[in-house]
Amino acid sequence: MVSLVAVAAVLSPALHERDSYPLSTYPMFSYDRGRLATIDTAVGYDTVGARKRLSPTLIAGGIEVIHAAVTVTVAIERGDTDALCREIAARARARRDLVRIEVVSETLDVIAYFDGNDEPASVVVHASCEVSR
Amino acid sequence: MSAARDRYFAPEVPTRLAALRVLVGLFGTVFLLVRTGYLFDVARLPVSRFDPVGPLSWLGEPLPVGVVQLGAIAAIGLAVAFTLGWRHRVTGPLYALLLLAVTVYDNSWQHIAHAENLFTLHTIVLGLAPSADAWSLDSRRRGVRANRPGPAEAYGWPVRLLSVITVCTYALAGWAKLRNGGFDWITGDVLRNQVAHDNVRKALLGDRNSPIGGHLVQYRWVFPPMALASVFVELGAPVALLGGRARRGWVAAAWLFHVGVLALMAILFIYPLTGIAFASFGRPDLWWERFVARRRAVRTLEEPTAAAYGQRRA
Repeated sequence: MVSLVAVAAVLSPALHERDSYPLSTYPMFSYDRGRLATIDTAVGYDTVGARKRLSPTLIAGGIEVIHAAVTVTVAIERGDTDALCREIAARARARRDLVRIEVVSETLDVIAYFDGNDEPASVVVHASCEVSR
Repeated sequence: MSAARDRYFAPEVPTRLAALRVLVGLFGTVFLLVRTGYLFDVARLPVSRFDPVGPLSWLGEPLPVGVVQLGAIAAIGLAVAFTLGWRHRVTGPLYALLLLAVTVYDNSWQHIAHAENLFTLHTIVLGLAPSADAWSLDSRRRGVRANRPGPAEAYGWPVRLLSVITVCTYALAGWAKLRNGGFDWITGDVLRNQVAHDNVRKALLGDRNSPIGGHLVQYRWVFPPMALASVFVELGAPVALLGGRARRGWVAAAWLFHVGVLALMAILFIYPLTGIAFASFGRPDLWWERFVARRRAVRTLEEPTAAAYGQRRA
């Protein structure tokens, strides 16, 4: 009986198709993301305007890259990017080279990216803020 | 059906379940020690980022950081007690509950990782099962004879339940691929785009990506066979319950599947990669006993040689 309940519980997410924890539908890698993809991220700029990539820890406060990606996407969906930008800027104070942060969506050909074409086809800036010191 | 039920509930020696407790407990201890830093980091995030899931979905706001820190430290202590089999009737269920709470909280910050589910589910089973009736401080306290109780049904079905849970999680992952990606997941560019997308995302979010994956996405033909193999491994997981070669073959294929994920996307599913996720399909207790017996045999062979050497010197 215990085994049946345990197995039913583990399989139950497949019925209502809702991912959660610890019971999951395990949807990772299952969706077609397409070749032309929009990736939400945050970037920094130095004093001469050169764009710098930020670490997951700077972007979302944790070392996990997917956590950082989801954090930016959720902020965009909720219209909360100004707050996220300020949050990143506060964490970026220790980085002396950074003067400005932008929360952006970059659209690019993910296959061509690895063939040397790593410039995004388009960039949408959702929020921009200064790194105050 | 009756034969399957008889096999599922067949008596088992307590050491098999105990060996799984030690392995999963060791993994949990190291996992918690390493993961605590991340947990403490996310616990300090703004309230707006809190998105509780599963058993904690009722929580309206994040817990105070001090409570999270205390919970994580207590979980590490209980993980050690669980591994050693100390007061298991109390510490086993408590550890399972606290590990569940810690990992649920860990996943309640807008991102559900899928690397901890199986390990947590296995720990819950082992925490509630009589997995400390052998190879434990509890059994040592009860005396030498009690250290080795005979085979019993209560030591068998939890081992098989661990395997069934493992199989279910892989089958679910395979089903999700066909449900969300359709047959195009196997025949089309879904996997290739996934690998490319994951690696580009890592590059854009300042993380390490896989040069192998980045290189291979240039070759379209590579991916359909890999996609077919992935779905075959995941949906074919139930064959592992048949035992024998099918089980060994599936475990090897599933492990290689995770090696592939690591190579192509730099994603480390550490629980299956260590092999501990699949330990219930094997006999870790016998492996350990064979290892100990071999060491004893080597020592027995070395001792007379040393004695003879000593005599010659004298």
